[in-house]
Amino acid sequence: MSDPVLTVDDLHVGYPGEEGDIEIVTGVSFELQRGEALGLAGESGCGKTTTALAIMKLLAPGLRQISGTVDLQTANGVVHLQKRTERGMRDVRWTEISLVFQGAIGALDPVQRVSRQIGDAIRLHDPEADRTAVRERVKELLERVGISGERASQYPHEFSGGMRQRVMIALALACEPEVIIADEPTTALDVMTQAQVLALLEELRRDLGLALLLITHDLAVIAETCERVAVMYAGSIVETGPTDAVFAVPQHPYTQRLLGAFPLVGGERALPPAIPGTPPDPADPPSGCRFHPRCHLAREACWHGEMALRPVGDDHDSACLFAPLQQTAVAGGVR
Amino acid sequence: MPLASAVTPLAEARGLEVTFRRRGRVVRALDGVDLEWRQDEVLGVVGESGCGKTTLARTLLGLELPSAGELRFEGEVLDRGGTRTLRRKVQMVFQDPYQSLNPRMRVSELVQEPLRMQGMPRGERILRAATALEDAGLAPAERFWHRYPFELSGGQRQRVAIASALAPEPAGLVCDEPVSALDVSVRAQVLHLLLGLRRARGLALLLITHDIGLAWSLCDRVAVMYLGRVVELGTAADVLERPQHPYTQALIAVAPSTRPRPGGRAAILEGEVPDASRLPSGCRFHPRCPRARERCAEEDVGPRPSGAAGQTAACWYPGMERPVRAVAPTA
Repeated sequence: MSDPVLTVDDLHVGYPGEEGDIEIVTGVSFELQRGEALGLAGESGCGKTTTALAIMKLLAPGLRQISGTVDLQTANGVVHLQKRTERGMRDVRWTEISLVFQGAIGALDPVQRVSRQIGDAIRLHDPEADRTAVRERVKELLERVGISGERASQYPHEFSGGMRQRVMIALALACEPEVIIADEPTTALDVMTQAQVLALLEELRRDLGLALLLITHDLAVIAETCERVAVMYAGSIVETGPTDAVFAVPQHPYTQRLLGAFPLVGGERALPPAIPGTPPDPADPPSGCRFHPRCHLAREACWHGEMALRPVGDDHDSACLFAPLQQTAVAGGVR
Repeated sequence: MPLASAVTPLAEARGLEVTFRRRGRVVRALDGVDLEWRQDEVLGVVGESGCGKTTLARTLLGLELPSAGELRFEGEVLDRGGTRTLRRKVQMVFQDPYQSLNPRMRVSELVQEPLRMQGMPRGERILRAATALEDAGLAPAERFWHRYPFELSGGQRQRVAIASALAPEPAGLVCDEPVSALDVSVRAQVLHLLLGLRRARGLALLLITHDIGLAWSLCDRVAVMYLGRVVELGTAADVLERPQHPYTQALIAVAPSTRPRPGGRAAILEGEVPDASRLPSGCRFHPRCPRARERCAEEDVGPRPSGAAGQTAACWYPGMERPVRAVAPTA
């Protein structure tokens, strides 16, 4: 049943170059269903963070949304985010859609008590709230993310990395949004803390019916958290589908190689084969399939034309000309 | 001792202690580490931040002085003056090549820098540096010689860092999370390079990582550290496939996997690694240990043989409760 809260259609983002715009997001489309967790995977520079910032209208100066639409389903009907002014965005940011950044240390104000920062967010949503109500709500939010309410009067530096990330999540929840975008929420954290934060996100999603767009380079984090995954390479989605299907029978050579890059304990003890070369420069992308210069399957047909996503399985799409692909053995066994 | 090599280890720590003072309290960063780093081997050191793995590396590099215990290098006990030898014989590759390379130096200067510090004449230095660059996969060296770090990709920068570490012709290379700042598709290239160097140059590698899958695929032996101690030690296969210490088991169980997880998410340890200036009584792990009993809170425990031959675990009740599933590392 399709009930998307967030629909992104043919999003293009870029910056002006000498000969027209240089695109770093080149036609990204996806739907985030109500209550669903969707993983957006890819390496640095593939456009995954830019996609998130474009949705929130928080693009860095110089970058602009060239075309495409972003629609958010709210209680008051559909909001076309791309048409909103900065002022108009303030009505939906935090209240309808929140962003949790990577590295919470940079996102929290170091000289403000945690209670003040979360309290400000609550007042943004409900300017009438009295002090006692705000204080109670701050405490409740902190306890919701597993922090004792007594720590509300502390400063961010008094919290460990994992605890700060929890504070960030409490902040994101303050105005009861429907959608949370989390950009590398656990990347700077230790394994054990990472597991704690991921378990928390999952619990919140279940209890509050949140939709989660999880952006990360770490496929394993997506496997643990998300029902669906979209893999990005050089500005576009090259494969998308249910996480189980994509990870069990990847239908794009890039996804295959990415999955192969993570050795599995207990499999064959060998280093995965290296992917030759580096991701392309957005100012000078390869023609045809952008992965072709690094692809072990590439043939002449891959050098030309547009590679559109096409169905290869149940709700499973790939942009590879040769999909469905034969599943190759990689380190750790056949995936 | 079982599994001991006949050859003298490259480095050997016995009861090694390194302490710092912080706000008037003593922080025991290393608190009695016994560990051999053998010639030619890839030794993995895994654990959460604050477990002492970086302090161990810095001590092996001669950057920290032990406050107690003994550190031998190629069989000889190191005194204060001995750290100079260490600094030449053991080199380091850091995690982030965007931060570890001086942005104002050209590649040629970066690679020659450690040799210049040793007072090597210019002609010899240039030859050495060029060889090191080519060994690190930046060939021909002339193509990269005059470049600045910002002109290179992340993978190439890490290769420059590796070349500078190779230039003094060390016997051991300490790699602190050498690929965690690199893109997934470039990681394998750098790992293949490190293993190739070990074969070609007979280098011993010490790999510090939190990445269980990486340790498993790359290392001969693995030491698991917790609060300044080695809590489990053995071959990579023994320690990571048949872990005996509950901490190792927990670390492996929470490592995210790209494989479906039968039986749902594993139990996650509560809390965080305690502050090394306020060590728990008895076994340091007992406050977080799912298996802790009375004895664990009272009596401290050192490494004891457990599991396979040569495998040790610092636990009163070691052993496996259930077989460990296949896991992939975090990237």
